[in-house]
Amino acid sequence: MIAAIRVEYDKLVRRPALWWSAVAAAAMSIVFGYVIPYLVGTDGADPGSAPGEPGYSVPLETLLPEQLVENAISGFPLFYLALALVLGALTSGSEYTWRTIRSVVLWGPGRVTMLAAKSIVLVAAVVIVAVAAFAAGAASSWVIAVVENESASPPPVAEVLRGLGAAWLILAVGAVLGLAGGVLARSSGAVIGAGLVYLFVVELLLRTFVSRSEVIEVTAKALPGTNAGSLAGSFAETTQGAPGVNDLVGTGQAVAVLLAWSAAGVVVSAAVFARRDVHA
Amino acid sequence: MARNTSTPDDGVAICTSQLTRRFGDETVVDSIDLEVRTGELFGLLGPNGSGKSTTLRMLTGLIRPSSGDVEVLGAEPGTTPQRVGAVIEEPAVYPYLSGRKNLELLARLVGAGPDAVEEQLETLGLADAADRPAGGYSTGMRQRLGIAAALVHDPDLLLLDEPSAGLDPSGMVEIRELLERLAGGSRTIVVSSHLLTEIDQICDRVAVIHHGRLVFQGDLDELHQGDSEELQARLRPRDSATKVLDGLDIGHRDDGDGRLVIGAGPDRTPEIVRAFVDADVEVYEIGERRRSLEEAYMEVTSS
Repeated sequence: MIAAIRVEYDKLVRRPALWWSAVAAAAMSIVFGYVIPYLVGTDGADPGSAPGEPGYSVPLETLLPEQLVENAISGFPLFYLALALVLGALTSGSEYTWRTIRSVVLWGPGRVTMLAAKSIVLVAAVVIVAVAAFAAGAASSWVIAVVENESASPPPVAEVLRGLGAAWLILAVGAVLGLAGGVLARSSGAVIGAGLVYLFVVELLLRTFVSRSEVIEVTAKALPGTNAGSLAGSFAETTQGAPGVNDLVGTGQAVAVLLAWSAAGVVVSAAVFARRDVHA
Repeated sequence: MARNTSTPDDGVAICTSQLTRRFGDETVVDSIDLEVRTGELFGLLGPNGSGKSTTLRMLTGLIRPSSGDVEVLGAEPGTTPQRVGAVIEEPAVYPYLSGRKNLELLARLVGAGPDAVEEQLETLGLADAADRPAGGYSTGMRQRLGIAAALVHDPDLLLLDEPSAGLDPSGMVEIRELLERLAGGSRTIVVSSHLLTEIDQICDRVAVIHHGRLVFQGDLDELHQGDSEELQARLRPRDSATKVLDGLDIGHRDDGDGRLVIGAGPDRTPEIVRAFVDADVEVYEIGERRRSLEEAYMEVTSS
């Protein structure tokens, strides 16, 4: 198992896709978390307006270092979750595209061991993406604080760690579901396409009808995107309007459901991979 | 799944019994009983699509049989990666990693050290290109890297599917020489190919698979010999020789290479030679006719 983890680690850390994901997370954190809100306006003219409406503005204090966690995590339930799903799908799907899945099976200590090693390394590696987003957010908020001559005092360390933990859990779910999709579909392209449509269309649409149907509400509350949104929402009173962020379920349930989705992703992909023929 | 038909010490490296694989309604491998002995260089012959690769995939555990038993080195396929090296169809590489890194990763999985990696890179002529991304390798270089990976842990059994695919003539000769060097002792090598000359030059025993069925299994000499009884002779003058054979009521034909193929078994050799001598026909060479592998192959696959 140790050898398998070392091999999977070597494969993933040398893969440009991991570092591009971190760069994309950092860029999104800077652009959507700070630059655009700062340019939209922080004069507090009408803080009650929704994004895009005339008179909308962002309270300056939400862009300062003290509210780093609240601001940074608001992008995780949708954008970074999608990023992690893409990374997970690439990690497993490429093995089929490149036909290296044969090497994994022929040289590896066992199919389940190899898949477990890949899952462990992937889940650990998405911490890099979470840290990149938080670090970029921290740097951006510090610059704004300096420019605006406001307080640059950071948030409490415990809150940052709690936020990073939540962010990591959200990314881990996306990565594992992407990995499972790659194994099931034996490619990455189809999974990335279907996954993005699911996250950006299906789940968001479902959540808009939650108040109209109990069945839809129960269904939505069991989905990974909704629970990721609620987990992020537990940090962010002032960013409740951010895409994907919601308050549909409590923090405890959100964590439990996300862990259950992660476990289900690993178990299903391992069961399929262990039994299925390798034709690649 | 595996029946206890062989052990690591019984001289049998691979044993299959009624090995069958179906994909939907199509039977791709049909009830094959294969036996490969320890230490031999065994050839798996057959045209493209005959079922060779599917058979090798079952021997490596990549796919499972629909029915039948298979045992590799006394164990279920795929359970002894430290003892088996394989190249199945075209070798796969991680394109963003160097050739050396590709090899190191696989070596680590089977417990081989860095020295083994360097040795194989050197042996397969990849040392100069070892630090380049493998995605930029030519087909031949990928083939060499695949063979290097199959050898990096010094396996007891080597399964190679079309090892010369993508190689230029000099590369094919190098691979052939490498296989001859590797063969012998306790190492068993199974080479699948549709190139008859390749198999003819290196293998001890062969199996011929046609439309998923095993149509021949045995020594190469046996395949060359075949069932038909014929002699082959170099004679002069040719006209007188054919008249002698006509007089003995023995059929004959030209083999296209200056020899006469005589339709009689070796037991009639003295009688025929005597008749030639009596008719002043000079006999430069006469003996049992050895069919080319191509002829033998065509015969066993058409019957």
